[in-house]
Amino acid sequence: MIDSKLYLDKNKTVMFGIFENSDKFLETVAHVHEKGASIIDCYTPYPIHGIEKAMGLKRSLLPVGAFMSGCLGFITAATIQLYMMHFDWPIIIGNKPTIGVSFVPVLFEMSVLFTAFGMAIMFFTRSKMLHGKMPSELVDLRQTDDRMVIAIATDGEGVNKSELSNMLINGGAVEVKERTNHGYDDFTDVVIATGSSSNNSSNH
Amino acid sequence: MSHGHDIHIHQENYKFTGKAKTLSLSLLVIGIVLTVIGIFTIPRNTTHHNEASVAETATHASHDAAAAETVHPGININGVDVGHSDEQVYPVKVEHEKPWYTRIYVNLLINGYFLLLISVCGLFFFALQYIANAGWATSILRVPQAMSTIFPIGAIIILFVFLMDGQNIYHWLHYEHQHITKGNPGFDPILDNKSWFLNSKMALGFLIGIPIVWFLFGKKLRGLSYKEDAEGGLTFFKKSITYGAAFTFVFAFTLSILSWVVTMSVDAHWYSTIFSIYNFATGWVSCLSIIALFVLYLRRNGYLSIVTDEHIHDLGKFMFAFSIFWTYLWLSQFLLIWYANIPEESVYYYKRWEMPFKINFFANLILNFLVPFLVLMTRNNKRNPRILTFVAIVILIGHWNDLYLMFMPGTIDHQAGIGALEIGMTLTFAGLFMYWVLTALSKRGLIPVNHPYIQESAHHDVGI
Repeated sequence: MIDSKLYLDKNKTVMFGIFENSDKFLETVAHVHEKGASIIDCYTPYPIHGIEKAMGLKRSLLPVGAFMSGCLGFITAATIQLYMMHFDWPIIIGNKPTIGVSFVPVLFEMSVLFTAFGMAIMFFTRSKMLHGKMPSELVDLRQTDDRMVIAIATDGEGVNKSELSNMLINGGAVEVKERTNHGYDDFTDVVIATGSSSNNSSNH
Repeated sequence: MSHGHDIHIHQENYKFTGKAKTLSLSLLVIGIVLTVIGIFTIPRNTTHHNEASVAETATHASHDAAAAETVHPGININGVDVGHSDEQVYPVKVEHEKPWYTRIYVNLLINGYFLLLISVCGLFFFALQYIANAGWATSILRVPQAMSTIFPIGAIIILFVFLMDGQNIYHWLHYEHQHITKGNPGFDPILDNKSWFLNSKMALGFLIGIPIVWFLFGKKLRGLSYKEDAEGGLTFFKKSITYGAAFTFVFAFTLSILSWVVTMSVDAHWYSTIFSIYNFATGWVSCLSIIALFVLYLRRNGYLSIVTDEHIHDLGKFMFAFSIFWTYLWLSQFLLIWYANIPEESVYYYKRWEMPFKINFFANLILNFLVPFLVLMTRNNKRNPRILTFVAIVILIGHWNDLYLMFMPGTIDHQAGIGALEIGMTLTFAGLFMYWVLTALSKRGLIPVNHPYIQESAHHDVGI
């Protein structure tokens, strides 16, 4: 919900298609993506399988970040233990060498700790989910209950807004809105079209 | 996009012909040839009396050795005099010659136990999907199901080895037959204390009883699945959950007991509280690797049309995760013993740290941890059939090596080695396993078509 393109950029226009049926939503998202419109994001109350592919999302780099954090943790643990246990103040415990298998638990734990924290920090940073900094209004009140929202940037070159709006309505949208940003947390929403509601049955 | 629509599920019937049949049969033949070569080339020991019968020879040899084995405390350990006591006599297991044929029996035991572990873990995989309410694996469920049919063979082999050469492999069994009472030379307080559990009657009971219980559970669970194919409906699924839960409960205890009796009692003076879960980890990760190999093979030959890269990815994740799980247990066992350095515990690793087992000791970590961990770390490698096949084979070799390290030092020790016999016997079992499982697969439909989660499995998607 907290997306700079939705809330921060000045004089941007965004089109929202609001859906009630997840199957239709998924098909429409794929259709919109195929037509080449730039999808900002999709907001759904529950995970919809296959939506990343439909939106044309690229694979996240989070695993790479996780690996690097893990390596950082490993190196940190190795350095700390080497310095403390071998160079600074060697303590002989049970006649064991000062560098040995006893390092492994700490190496393991530090790698896990760094990976977990690194991933959490990277994930929240990348998704701009820093709490308390951003406005968090919903596009649609039922967005966290049973409605799905697709947000499409409409201020690029060669965007046919009426075609896009028709595509959403024909795809099963119950409402199509357009938002114009004026500044930080300052925007106007206009309802462009409404489709038929209460079509919640699955289309088997 | 197929999402939201039913994928058409149709039954597939696997035909066991062509390359797979040739491969399994040639593995079997090459294995048997190598085994025979191995049997004729392993060194014969000539120190025993040839005129005595085989069993007597073994008893005599061990008896003489047992008399020489008792060591009085007061010896130096690491240069420290540990004191002297005239009352107690601690027997220390000293290396002595085992008859040459024991090596054949230990090899049979390793492979039979490996077969049993993999196969019963297949049954556990099958039961687990029901009790976890997991849908993703439904389309590949027939593979572990077919794998679970072979463990009677493993159980029979273990029993055979136990009856034929148990005296040479399990020194507690040998000790039991000596009937030494307290106060007499050769009396072993540790084995005497354990004798309520480690005795031939209990062992035979477990070796026969546990596989029978597993067999009955396997038969029941498979039967329910086949009936579901024919009749449909939810009743069989619900029953499978009940039986699956019961089996999992029984499996946890029985596998532990079996691992104590078959594997841990090889070093009867030694014990590890983590040993049975460690054995389970070995069997489980090998079982997952074999499931992956079979699924990849079936897919390459045009079967299992509803199995996608997503399922392969999940199997890869399983192999990756449980390789780490195995390493975690391996380290947990090793680290405590290494740190505490109590002689009666560390003797286990002391033996494995010396040649000829030192190579196996490090190969164990490389094959079972480093290779799967580093190779399967990226997503693309988990989804790549060639790389997954490679890692699966490495894991299988690694866990065979793991079992080799569990059995060999405690049984034939310095007489052990990896030669034509070991390789041949393993290939024979691999060929037998392939032949058996693929035959079992060809007898029934490959897809559980009426399983309530079959659509979920067909739609399985792990995201990008």
